[in-house]
Order: sequence, then C-alpha cells, then structure tokens
Amino acid sequence: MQNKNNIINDCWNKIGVWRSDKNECPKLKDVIHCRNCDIYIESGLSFLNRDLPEDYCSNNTEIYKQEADEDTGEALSVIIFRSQQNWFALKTSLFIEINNDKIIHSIPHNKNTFITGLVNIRGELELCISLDALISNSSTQTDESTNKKKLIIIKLDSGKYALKLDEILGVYRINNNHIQDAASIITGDSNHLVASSFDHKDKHVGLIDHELLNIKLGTLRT
Amino acid sequence: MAIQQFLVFFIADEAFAISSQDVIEILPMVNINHVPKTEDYISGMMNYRGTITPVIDLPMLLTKKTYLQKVCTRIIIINNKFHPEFKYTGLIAEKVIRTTRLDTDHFTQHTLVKNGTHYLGNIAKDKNDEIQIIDLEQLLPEEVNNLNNLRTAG
Repeated sequence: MQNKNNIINDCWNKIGVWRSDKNECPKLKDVIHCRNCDIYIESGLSFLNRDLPEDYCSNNTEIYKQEADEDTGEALSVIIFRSQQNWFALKTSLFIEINNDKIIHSIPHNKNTFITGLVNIRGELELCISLDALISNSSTQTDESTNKKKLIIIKLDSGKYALKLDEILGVYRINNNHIQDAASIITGDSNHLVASSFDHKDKHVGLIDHELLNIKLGTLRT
Repeated sequence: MAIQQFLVFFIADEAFAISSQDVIEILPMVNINHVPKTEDYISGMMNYRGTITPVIDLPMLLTKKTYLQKVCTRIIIINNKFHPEFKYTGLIAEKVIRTTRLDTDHFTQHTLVKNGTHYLGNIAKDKNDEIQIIDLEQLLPEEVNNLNNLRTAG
C-alpha cells in the first residue's frame, strides 16, 4: 500500500517518452510508450490509492446530494467564455484549441472592423476575428483586443478562425430545456448572432448561433 | 460468445466484479449517516441526488473488515430492483478503477460457496486476476430488506 512519504519516481518525465534529455529508458524499446509500461500503470494506481484529502467527503456530499438536472431533452455541450463584460457560449465541437495570447499581425489597408489581423497557429495563418465588433457591430475600432488574454481557434464550415477573449470559464453541459430565446442581453442593435441564451449560475450567457456566425464570416473570405 | 462488460473492484486485494449494466453511477466517498442497531455491513444512509439511499459496506459483508479510506474507494450506485422502498443502493468497494470485458461462456462455476453466500456465482479469468463475479440479485434482497424492516418498525 502507498506510504504517505512515498515519493513517486516520475521516470516517464526523466527517461520515458516525456523526457527532456537524451537518455532513453531501455524499456521503451519493448513497450513503445510509457502508458504500456507497468511502472507507469503502478504509479497511476498508487496515486489513486492515496489517503482521502481533507474535506473530501464533505465536499462530495454537497455535490451528490444536489438533485440531478432532469434529463428530459437533449443536452448541449458548450464552452463558456467572456468577452469584455458579456458572457458567451459556443458549441464545444467547434473548438480546435484554446491558446494563450499570441501576437496578432495586422493586415495593411484592412477596412473591415471584424478582422483584427492574422495569427500564426502551428505554422498556419488564421484570420483573427474581433467578437466584440462582430456582435455589437460597432464601427469604433477600439484597441480592446490587445489586452485580451486568451485566443481560441474554432472551425466553421467556411474555415478556421481565431478569436481573442478575456476569459474562458470551461466546458459545460447545458440542458436544451434551459436554453431560451435571447432577450437583448447584448447592448447594440444587431445582436442576431446571439439567438438564444441561458443562465449559468449567476451569469447570463448568450449562445452564439454558429451557423449565422459561419455565414457572416464566410463572406469575409470571398 | 457472450461478451459482457463488468465493473471490477477489489475487496482486501481480491478482485470482484459486477455487471456494468446494473451500475448507475460511481461516486467518490461521501459522508454516510450511520443507522444505529443495523448489521455491521450496512454502512448507513446517504443522500444520493435527493434520494435517501442505503449504503452497503461490501468489504465488511465479505471479509468482516471495513473499507480503507482511500481515494479509489468509491460508492457504486446500483438500481435497487428488489425493494420498492428504495430506488437505489450504494455499494462501497475498493480500487474501483476499471471495467473489463469478459466472456460469460468461459465463467467457471464457484463450487466452494457455502449457504448464505450464493451471490458468489462464477469466477472469470482476466489478464492478471481471477475475478469473482457477484450476482447482485442474490446479494441484495435480504440485506436491504433488513434495513427496510427496521425503518418500518421504527
């Protein structure tokens, strides 16, 4: 059994597939990947076999005594994020990756306020879109995108796009019954991209209609 | 060939399994309210998503030793098909970390079982372990009914 003071030897980080130096574990030839190796599996088990952390039972009790959402109707998996003051959500399946901030290269003679520039994602240049400009349709070219901390890459039918955001809340399952047609939660006249909304804890989240988004962004490519 | 999926767990380092079909959810350990004057293998009652659910200490039932307080000791929530009073039953088991697919045609009949342990039906061979299959239909009725009688009597 796992001893409290037993420190796990993370050989997979030292000589295994995630090694930083060149010395390779001799076992790798046989097992190909650390996940096939007994030592790796044993370490994983010993991690699960650790003593209960403080408050573990109490916290779980709180979680599991909540009644589950009634599972009538389909649920939708979304990622919730914040741009300026507003919370939005997009279908999780559209997401390719979430990245930290990257340098946006501006495009000369760019008159389109939606497009903030190009960004290098793993060697590919993707269009970087300003969500605020797109949703509020404001023509004021504010420089708000420079201090945004997160960059997401989404894939729509018309191609991949990068969006700069302030904050990513996480992946959540939203019951379809809880999604309502949007009240005008976004200030601005043209907010039809946000066709519906739902409440998540204390936040009111606008669900972005990805098909409309695709149509709107697709016109940029022609 | 009748391949079925089983949830594997351990009790005092012995591998056991139940059919995955019976499992509703696997929970981490929660606070359990003890019920006085019940059998020692009845750990108590828990609130499972708003439903009062009896929890059975499987290690105690099978080996007379209670479970280890470890992260991989979990509560298996199963449908309680046996008694209308409760919708679910929780089973505490250790090292609930994997499922496996077993061929039920290759089960070996348990011939060593004594009276009162008929829930131990078959033995299956997995890669590393010999797994004893627990027949929930045999395990639950009596035990949960005891608890239920106590409740109605009180």
